[in-house]
Amino acid sequence: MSADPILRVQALRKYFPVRNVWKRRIGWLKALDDVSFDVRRGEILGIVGESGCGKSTLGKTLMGIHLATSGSVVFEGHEIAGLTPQQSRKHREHLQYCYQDPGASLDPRWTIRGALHEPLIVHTQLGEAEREARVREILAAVGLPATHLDLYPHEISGGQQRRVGLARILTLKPSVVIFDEPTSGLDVSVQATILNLLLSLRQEFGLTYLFISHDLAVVRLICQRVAVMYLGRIVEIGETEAIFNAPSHPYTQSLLAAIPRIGGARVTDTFALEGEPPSPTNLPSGCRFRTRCARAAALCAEAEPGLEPFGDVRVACHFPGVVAQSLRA
Amino acid sequence: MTDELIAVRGLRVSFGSDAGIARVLDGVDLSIRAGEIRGLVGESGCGKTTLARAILGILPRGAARIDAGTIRFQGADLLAMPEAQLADQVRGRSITYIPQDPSTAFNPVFTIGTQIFDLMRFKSPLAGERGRARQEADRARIEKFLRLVQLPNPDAVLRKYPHEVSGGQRQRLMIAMALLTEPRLVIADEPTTALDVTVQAQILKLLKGLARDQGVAVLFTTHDLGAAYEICDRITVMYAGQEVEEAPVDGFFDRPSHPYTRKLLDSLPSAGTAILGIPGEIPRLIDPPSGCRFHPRCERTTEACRGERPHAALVDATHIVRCHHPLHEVERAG
Repeated sequence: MSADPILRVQALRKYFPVRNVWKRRIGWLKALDDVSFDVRRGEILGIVGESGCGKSTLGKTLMGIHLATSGSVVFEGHEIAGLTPQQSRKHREHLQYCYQDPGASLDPRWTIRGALHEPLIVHTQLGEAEREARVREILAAVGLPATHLDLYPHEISGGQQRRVGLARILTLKPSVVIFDEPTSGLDVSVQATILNLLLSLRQEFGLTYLFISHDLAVVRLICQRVAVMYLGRIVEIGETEAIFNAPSHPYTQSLLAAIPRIGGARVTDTFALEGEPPSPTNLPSGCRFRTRCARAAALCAEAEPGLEPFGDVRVACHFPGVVAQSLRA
Repeated sequence: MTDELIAVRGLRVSFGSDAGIARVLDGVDLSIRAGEIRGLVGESGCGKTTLARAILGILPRGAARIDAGTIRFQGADLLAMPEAQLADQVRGRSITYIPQDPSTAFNPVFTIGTQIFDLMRFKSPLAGERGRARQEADRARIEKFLRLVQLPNPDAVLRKYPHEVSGGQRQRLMIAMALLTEPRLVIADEPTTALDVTVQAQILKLLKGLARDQGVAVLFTTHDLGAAYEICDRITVMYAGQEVEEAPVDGFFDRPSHPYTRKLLDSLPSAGTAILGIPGEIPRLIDPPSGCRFHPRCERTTEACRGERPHAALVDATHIVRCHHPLHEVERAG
């Protein structure tokens, strides 16, 4: 593992304008506000948070689907933030994005072979024989027989479509893949199969994953490091075990306390967090979590906490640490 | 059992489609006692929603057909009841429904208040009374229930349109509406699937507390075993249109006896263990496997499993399993 991060994100911001009915801008929706982190070569970094926290915007801004408002994204030594899709195409070949259901992005009128050849035609100069060899190699890696190449998407099952979608992403030999909620909406038995496939593909092709998910149990299982987001900011980032065993930010603590644990104390008996996140167009002053935080003090309303080292992790909180009465059973 | 609130016996439902007839429910038995919170778990396509809709009598007309079985609710057979009586007295009154996605359940062009008062016009528990007194009583009841679901400012909420409140608040409103008519049974169809985990914890807590306080039975369908563990008294597992195991919540997680239940529990992600899936895929219901529908994916399959669907057997007095080769010793149920 090299010491240089494969992806370095610094002070990334993505603001969406909020307009009234006359199209006049009346404010900003701060979907990403000063987000910085490194992704190390070969790791799986989990990005967790509730809906509206900006985790999908983060993935899409890294990919260039959204243009960053400001900040820097350095991927394999090249600055890619702020470039137009045309300018950055060469660099982004090795950065791939996987939607929630990769099978749904297959064109129903194309055979599997056509779908898998297309990225190679767009991005590479390979001849047809070389493309076919690469396509067969990848298809075998996702566990599908070569006979499937002549089928259309509707002729194979949903799980197999998903595998083809993954194969399509891998044909360009990416180094980093961003997964946006790859297991949400799946039954647990199917989810287990997909996770095993993702782990074995990572081994085989030496991939680095950015794993965006709201499912904390899955994140704990497969990620080496985790970043917890709340309303456009990272509030805590560190090694998975450090965060799950002893979360330091009050939001992380509430989030972990909310997961039902079979065999443990029931969340419905112990859970204390009130309310829902405020609107990202109208953020509270100072710390964004203070309106729901049991530990909020005067300082929290005045100054926004930075992401500072605390023990083994980095936390954005004025009063980090484990609370006296354990929130976790 | 005498204290059964609802008893479904041998229910068979099939859906017609271009590809053939899909046998979606294959002789399902289910009974719920008054005041019980029952979890109905299983993977997508196992028939949980079809069962819930069959009880409510809202299966799609034309496409779905009930081939056999009875649904007895408070002693009356719902399948034999005239539609007018069902619509007036049972559906939306003594059996109510909480949908999975609260954002599509409201009409976007009317205020929340209009929609709740419409409900009370037809289904108010004070159906006998008329005029101003009834209106005021209904209004008081609505405000009481909005406070119970922790919407502290009922007047303001009633004047809002559905898009002006958050997803969690919409689901709170749905719970309030489901309880307004003094139901005996609430069918909650994956009520927290669309919600974030912290909101899910709040909603589950609310649903459990209110069901207990009002003495209402709940049929809680979910594919999330964690959520079922949180609020249920008993859990029923379904696989491909057959119920395979039913147990009290502790026995369910401690002593799963059907191989499918065992595998379902093993595929839950947990730290420090391998990720286990269930080999194979859910069968097509147009041409389902014979006998026990799980047999093509099961390690314990024998000839008997292909031949006949196993009868219910007892692991202990309250724990029922339908398997020829269960993981624990059983007695034949009477």
